[in-house]
Amino acid sequence: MVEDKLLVWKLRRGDKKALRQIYEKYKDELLTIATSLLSETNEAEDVLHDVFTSFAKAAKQHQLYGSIRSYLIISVINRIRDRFRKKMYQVVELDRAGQIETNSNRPEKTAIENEKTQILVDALAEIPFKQREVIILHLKGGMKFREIAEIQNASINTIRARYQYGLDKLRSILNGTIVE
Amino acid sequence: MNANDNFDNLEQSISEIHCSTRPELDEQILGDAFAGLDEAMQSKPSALQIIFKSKITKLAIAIIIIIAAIIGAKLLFITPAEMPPKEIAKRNDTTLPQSFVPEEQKIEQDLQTKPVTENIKTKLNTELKQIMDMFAANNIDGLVSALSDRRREIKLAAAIYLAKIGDERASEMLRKLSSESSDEELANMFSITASLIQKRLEEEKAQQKVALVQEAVLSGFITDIETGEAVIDANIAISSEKNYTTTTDENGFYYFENAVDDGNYRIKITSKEYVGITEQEKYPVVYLSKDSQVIKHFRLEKACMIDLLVIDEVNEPVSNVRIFITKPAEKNKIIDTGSGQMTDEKGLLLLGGLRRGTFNLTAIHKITNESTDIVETLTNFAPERITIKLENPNVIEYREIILKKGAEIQGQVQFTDGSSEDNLIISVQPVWWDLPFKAQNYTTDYDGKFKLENITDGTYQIKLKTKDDNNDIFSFQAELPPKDEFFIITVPQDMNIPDTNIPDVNIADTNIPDMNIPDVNIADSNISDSNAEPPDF
Repeated sequence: MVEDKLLVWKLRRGDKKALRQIYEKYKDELLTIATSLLSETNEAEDVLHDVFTSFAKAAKQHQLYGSIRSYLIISVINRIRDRFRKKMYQVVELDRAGQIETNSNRPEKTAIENEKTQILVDALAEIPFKQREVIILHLKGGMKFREIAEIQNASINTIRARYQYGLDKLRSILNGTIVE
Repeated sequence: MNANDNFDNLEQSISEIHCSTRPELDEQILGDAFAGLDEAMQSKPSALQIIFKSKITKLAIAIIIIIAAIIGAKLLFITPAEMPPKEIAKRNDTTLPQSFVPEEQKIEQDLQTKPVTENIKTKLNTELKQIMDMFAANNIDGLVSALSDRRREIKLAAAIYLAKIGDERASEMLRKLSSESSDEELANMFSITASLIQKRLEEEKAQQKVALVQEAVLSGFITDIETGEAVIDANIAISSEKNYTTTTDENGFYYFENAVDDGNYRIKITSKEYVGITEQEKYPVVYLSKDSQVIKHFRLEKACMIDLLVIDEVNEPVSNVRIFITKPAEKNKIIDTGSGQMTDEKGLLLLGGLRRGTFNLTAIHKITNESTDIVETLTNFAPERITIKLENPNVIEYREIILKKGAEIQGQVQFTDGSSEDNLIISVQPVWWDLPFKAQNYTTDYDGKFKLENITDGTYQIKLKTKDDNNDIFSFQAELPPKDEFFIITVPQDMNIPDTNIPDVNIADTNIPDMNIPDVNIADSNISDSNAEPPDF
């Protein structure tokens, strides 16, 4: 963790090696979170891209009060939420929806490593976003319910409930898949 | 596939979800991120912005401008032609800014076609630009070496940029240059720059500390309640089932790392220079757990301090003297300042952490003798007390305590019937005693004889107790030393050992005929028998 501090310190002075190190250290984790939340690798990659470029651009400004990791995870969450907000409008804008379609047609070497992950990501896609967010932030992001409660602006009990409902739903979805 | 095998532990499975980035994606993101970083670095405030960002920099820059103006003026008015050759030579030696005049001549010889002044200007501009590039590239070594450039402009530019970057190496170099430079203005400039760097480094350090807060279970700053200054070297102890301690650093920062068991912790803070949190009932309680970070800042009041010297009657310092602090109004309550309260080999002790007020300091000399199997405490001096009034935290009060050896007093406990009693404890303490423990206890031997040690002149509270059950049987005040050399304590009849409190153990073993100390009124019992045949307790 002290290493992290050093990295930020170097980054603030424009050290590219530091930026690369930070990227290498967190890229997979962030991509995994983004993929499980967005259920789609292209968008997840875009999010990762946006998060890192703006992280780099803000190198001088940000006074990292927290750890790099949590800073980046929160950045990813914010981007994803932005996307969801936009998507809601996109439902109406048909031509834009088409654009997204073509976007996802670009050659993609799947970032999802194995079948098990794919099944889980697909199943996660079927549960409500807020439940998915709680599950992923808790299990993948290592965040406490209290912290997630702050992000979702809800009480800890609500978060706990969302977590439990989400898991229950996932279980039934996964069981259903298997029966088929 | 059989999902039951795979997703039995769903939470586990989700936490094992893993995606990795494609190399192409890495390339793309890193490429864009690097570009973004470059952009960020370039958007770094320009020289002018740097200059006017902070007040201190403003001041420094103002000085630079003035210096530059002076140099400019000198350049204008003292042209090489006007200068005697000797003077030029001298200036060359001292590498003063004007020393680039001969270079001018040299360039003139080399490039005779171009006008001289323009040449210097271009050269200087190019080099100044190089300095800026070095700054942009964070080339500290380059900038440091530019500090020893012959030309003042280059030196100054390098100094300004170094101040902005704030590297330690530069700081050292600048201080060195500042002390070496014969040019007063330049020396000042260097030292200002060096202190700017110092300030920057400190800010950075503080920022790193703040970042560290995020990983510590408990952390925070301890500062002066009035001035906001860092409280250095304060001790913070947290205790639950286990205890942990730490000390604040030069920024007043403290932290406890993850190695703490979950639970409620009491926080105790002690400091010599500041009034800590030392009263048990006032300890803040905080819940700590491995996975959460609690930040707690404390603001403390400046404390009064006492510089104490303990000496004996022949002015020799006395070590191993423990000082107990009490308030005159609050008996039996020792004030815990948390700091060590034992005098050192020079007889000195710095007491701190005290609020304004009047305090009693009781000095007790104690040596723990561990050479024998039984640890016993010995004392060579009578306890002594002084009263001190503390009013100003900014003044360290100086006091001396002189310990006296006192006298040895022999005596005997007698009962009204003239008999004596063994195995009594005599506790002797000065009437001023306000500590929650006994000053000194002595035991009577079989015929009630005792020997008191280290007794100084004064009024004492004397208590008699039975050894077995610690019951007070008689208490009185007396002036010591007594008029007669031999100190006889006479126990009045009605003060005899009460029946109910006497244990009936072992009594049967004593071979005193008919003598049942517990049951019988001592005054009535035939103690003279026991003199002939002492009970074997």
